[in-house]
Amino acid sequence: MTKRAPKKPLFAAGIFSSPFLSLYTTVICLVVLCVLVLWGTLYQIDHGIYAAKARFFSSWIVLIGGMVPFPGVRLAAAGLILNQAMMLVFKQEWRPAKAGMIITHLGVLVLLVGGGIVSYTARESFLALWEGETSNESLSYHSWDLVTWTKAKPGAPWAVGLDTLRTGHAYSTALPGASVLVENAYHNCVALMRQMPMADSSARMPMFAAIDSIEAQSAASDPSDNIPGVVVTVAAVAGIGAHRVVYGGASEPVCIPCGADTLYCAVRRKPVPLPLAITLIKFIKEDYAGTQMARQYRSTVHAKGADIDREAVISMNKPFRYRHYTFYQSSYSQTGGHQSSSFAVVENRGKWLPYVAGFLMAAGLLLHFCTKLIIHIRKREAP
Amino acid sequence: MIASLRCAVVAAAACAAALFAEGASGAVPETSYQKTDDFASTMILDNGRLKPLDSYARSMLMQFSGRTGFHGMSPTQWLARVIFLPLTAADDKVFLINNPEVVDAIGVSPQKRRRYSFNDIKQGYHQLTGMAREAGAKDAKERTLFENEVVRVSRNLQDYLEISSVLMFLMPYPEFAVRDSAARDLLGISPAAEQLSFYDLAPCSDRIAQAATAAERKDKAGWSVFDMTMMSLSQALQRWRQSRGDQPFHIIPKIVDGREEWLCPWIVMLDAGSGAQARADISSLAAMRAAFISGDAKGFAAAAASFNAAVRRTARPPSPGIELLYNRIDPFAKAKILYGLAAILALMLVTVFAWRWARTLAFVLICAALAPHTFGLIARVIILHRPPLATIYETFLFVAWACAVLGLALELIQRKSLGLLISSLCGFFFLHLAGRYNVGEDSMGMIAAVLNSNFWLTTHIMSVTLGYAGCCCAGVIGHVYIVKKLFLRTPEEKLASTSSALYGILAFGLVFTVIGTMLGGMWADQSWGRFWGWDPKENGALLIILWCAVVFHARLAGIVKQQGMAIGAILSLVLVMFAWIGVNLLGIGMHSYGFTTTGITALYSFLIFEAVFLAAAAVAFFMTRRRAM
Repeated sequence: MTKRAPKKPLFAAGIFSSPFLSLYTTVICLVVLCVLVLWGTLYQIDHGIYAAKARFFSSWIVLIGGMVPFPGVRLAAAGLILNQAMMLVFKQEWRPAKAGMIITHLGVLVLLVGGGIVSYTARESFLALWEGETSNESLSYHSWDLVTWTKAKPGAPWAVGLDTLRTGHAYSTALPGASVLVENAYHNCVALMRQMPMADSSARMPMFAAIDSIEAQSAASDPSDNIPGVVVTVAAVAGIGAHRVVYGGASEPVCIPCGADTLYCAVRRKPVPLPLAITLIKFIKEDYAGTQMARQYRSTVHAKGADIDREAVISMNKPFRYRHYTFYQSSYSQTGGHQSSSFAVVENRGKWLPYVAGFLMAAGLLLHFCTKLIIHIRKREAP
Repeated sequence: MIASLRCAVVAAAACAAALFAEGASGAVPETSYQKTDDFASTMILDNGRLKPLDSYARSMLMQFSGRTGFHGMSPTQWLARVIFLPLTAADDKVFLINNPEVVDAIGVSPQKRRRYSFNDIKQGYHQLTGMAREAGAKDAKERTLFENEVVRVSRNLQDYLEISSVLMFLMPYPEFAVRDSAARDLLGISPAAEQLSFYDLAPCSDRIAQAATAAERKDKAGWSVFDMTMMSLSQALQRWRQSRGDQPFHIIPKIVDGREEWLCPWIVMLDAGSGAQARADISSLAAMRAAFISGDAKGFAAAAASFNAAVRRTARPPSPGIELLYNRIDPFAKAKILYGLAAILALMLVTVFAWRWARTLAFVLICAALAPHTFGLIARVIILHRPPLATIYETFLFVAWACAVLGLALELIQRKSLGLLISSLCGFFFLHLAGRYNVGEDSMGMIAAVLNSNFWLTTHIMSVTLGYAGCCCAGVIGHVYIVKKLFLRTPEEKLASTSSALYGILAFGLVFTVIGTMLGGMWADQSWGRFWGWDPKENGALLIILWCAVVFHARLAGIVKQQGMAIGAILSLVLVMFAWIGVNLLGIGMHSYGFTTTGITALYSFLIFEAVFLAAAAVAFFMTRRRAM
């Protein structure tokens, strides 16, 4: 049997015969990825998934022992993308027998490139609604604002991102002429309480707990669990500074009387505007018969936007999609006969990329596997 | 929830009081083991699913003793003893205590088979519950082996007490004794009845209450025996009503607002509005108990059949036929034995001799094993209305099956006995491992809401587990290759078929792991809002893909040859075990429904075996090279 001469690749490599045109590079990149994935997985046991992401999966370089550089997943993946792309263009034989492998590697390329795009562009937030409540903005998991507003104009809040706050700097507020001087800002903290007398002496509980100070905490393994706080001095029009502790976990805002008006101050999760308003009509938790274990969570919502005005059902495994936004059933709360439902909101312009990549890879691998199997069986049956 | 828990605790305490007070209701005659077929098919709502009592009894007995039989009795016969004759059953040694320190701590003399009766343990019961309370307050991850065992045994005792008290209201009880003849006349009780039960007196409760109210109006000093009897009965009835709540034996259906609800006999007994049918159901239970105690097999079967017929008139439970057959056959145990026998033959065929009859016999044994294995999987689909892939136990069953089929397919292509070895060895090993995961739990329990999707279970998990199966088979072939090449020094040319089988099967594993992982990403995108989250379970699958890709690309680049491929396949098997078993042990990530502490010994044993095997292979390799030089 004569061996068929290999067909030429699409382009001659020429000056591009670099290390990226070598299968050795492919193997090295894959081995590095193996090491990183295994290491990052084990790292999660003690440090949590977010720390592992930051150190291994979303990084270009991993410092071993804080000193020795090692490629991060992004660098290894970038190397693999370059390697795959150059191999496909300069080294791959483009003939029908290789169709499966070509399609598979194209799928891998789409997946890696798509993964990169999504990791830089996708935004995640959440929306928690009580039955009957409507909102056209979700809340950020990780970003917080220092917000001020006045009693006279409650609908016109003034906000500054907590990440941009600098200690010792003064920031203007919703009340003209009043400013807040940031004394300390904490990424994660706990509030220390003290007993305060009630303003209304006829109240049945003469004392209530008020936030006295805040104490810094180390960052939580899940950044969404961090509760920030700020210690500020409010300089009002009258010129008298008021020292205040503004804690992200407080249910009520800090209230500062400023002459005829009152300035309110709070640390709140950063709102993310949505292109539509969502109203939670009904939330249902279905249990397995005779138990309290959930079989299904289902929220009926009304979505109203520029080109949408209809009801939708969001349940486990069945999200609601609108433009680049997707709403997922993520949590719920039942208190005193009232029910609330929480949705994870993801804005992702490249959500279709993994689907395309998945289809290409699966189709390519199946095609290649079947082609090889048929060739193998024909060879065996040949006299 | 808290109220029902409290009620359950109180009910258990009441039962405990009865069990602790030996002979409280007099001696109960021993009964022979009776035919309990009709009783076995009685439906019960347990763990969110309607199932025959046979399955319930099986899972309870497995939970308590780690076995599905007790002294030749079927699980249903044992359950019948526990609920109809709790004082007799209290001597049954069904509580498995693995840790001898726990036995010491509760002051029980150690038993040879590590199994103890309720009566053996009851002296240390309060000590045990106290220790369990302390251990229970700790985080599960921080508990010692001793504490885990204490919590397990204490929970088993609690469950046992609850089960044994479900028909306590049918048992004669000293506080319901009516000795006064006037009281007997009023209540219509025959003089022959020495002690009465709550069930006997419940119909007369209005008359008792009236007589007690009349007595209350009198001066206490002037109470007659009749008055005292009525007051005592009234208080006892009241105490029972208040102290007992819902119990774990929901066998009586009731239609409420068009919905089917399943109640325990005690709740039906208490609920005056349950209707004539419900009272008839209780009567059937009473008849069953009477027949069981007196050893009247026919009467027992008739009462059970009558109860079941009444249940089916009220509700429409699924037919228990297929589940009873599944329980009776125990298909995976049968399949495991047949795979084991085939594996012995196949091992000899691959390494020592190649007798034709042995090959045929091994093939027949594997086909014979596949029959119950396939039946078991199909039965689970029919019973659970979902693919049998929702728990780690079920994935073992499925991978065992997939490996067996893959091996047979390879055998049909190559006819070199290698496929037989893969089929039988993987079938036996994974069914054995599945058995380890099936101890103390109902293998047909509920699944988390996020898993409640037949489409994704079928597509994603089936693909991934097929990928696992491929890599496992490739791993076995890798071992065979290394053993033959390095230990038996088989010439390279005779290993060509083994090598090509390894390549093909590993490619199969890679294809399906890739497809399954991509489908998993899509499922995660539908459920959690992201395609990929670097969750340990996802990373496990990615590791397998990356490693298989390393092996294939290294072969293509000429970095490794057949021997390197074999080592790569063995390492892919190690990674499969990490992704499949190890990741669940980590207890982190979004796949929390799969977390378990089972399998740690199996995983470590496997890793040690592989480390020793690879080290021995390395030594053999260097010795061969040295000799060649």
